[in-house]
Amino acid sequence: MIDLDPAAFSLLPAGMINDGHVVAIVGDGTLESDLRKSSTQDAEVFVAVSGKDARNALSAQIAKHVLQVKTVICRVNDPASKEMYEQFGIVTVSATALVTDMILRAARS
Amino acid sequence: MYVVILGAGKVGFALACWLVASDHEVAVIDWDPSRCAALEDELGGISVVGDGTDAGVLARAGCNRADIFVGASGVDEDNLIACQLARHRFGALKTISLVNIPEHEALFALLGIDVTVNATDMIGGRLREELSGAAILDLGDMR
Repeated sequence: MIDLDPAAFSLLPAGMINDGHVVAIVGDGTLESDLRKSSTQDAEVFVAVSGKDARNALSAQIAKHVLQVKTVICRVNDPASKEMYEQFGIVTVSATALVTDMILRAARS
Repeated sequence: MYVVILGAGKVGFALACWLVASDHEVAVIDWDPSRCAALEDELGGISVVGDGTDAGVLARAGCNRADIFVGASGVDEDNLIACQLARHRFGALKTISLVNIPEHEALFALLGIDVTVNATDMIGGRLREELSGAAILDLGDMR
């Protein structure tokens, strides 16, 4: 798990880091060098779920096209951008689209 | 030629002025209303306030008829995403991006940006040139 903010890791459930379930790395996920420090190049799955679409999209593209990670999942809030990232081979998850979809389904039932 | 620029900071502002003076059509996108207002004082109504990584904002700036899109903001990921949307969603013919973090230069080229301008390395290189050309005073001699 990589995050710019060292304090962010304190939000994890107690023991996750100390028991070795999570390796916490303070770094910039939009830099290939920091992603390599987190051994992203050896990962089977890379997930970019920071709060900023553009940062997620840059991280995801480094993971996919430079570090050759097989499955890359990226959080994208702007539904209009989803299609482009999927063309780039990235799986996208949009909270906006998910919520809208759920509401529409509830409205129809 | 129609050019859409992301970022009304120093680079975007100067570029817009030059393009308008050279009779090109320009739109500039910036999230900061005060920077857009400053640009409009100089060049008239050519700015769009908003997030340039949002396809709706790019559409408002007329990206669908842009010949060239320039990512000139100080945030590399915004420049990249805006350039990619301009190319793939709106069909811009050429994308040019400012690169603020030198490590991103090769990456942007790999990800399809046509031209990258690595400001940090250019300035650093120019300064090194000046310093190596000048006789550098030995601090020991200043006592």
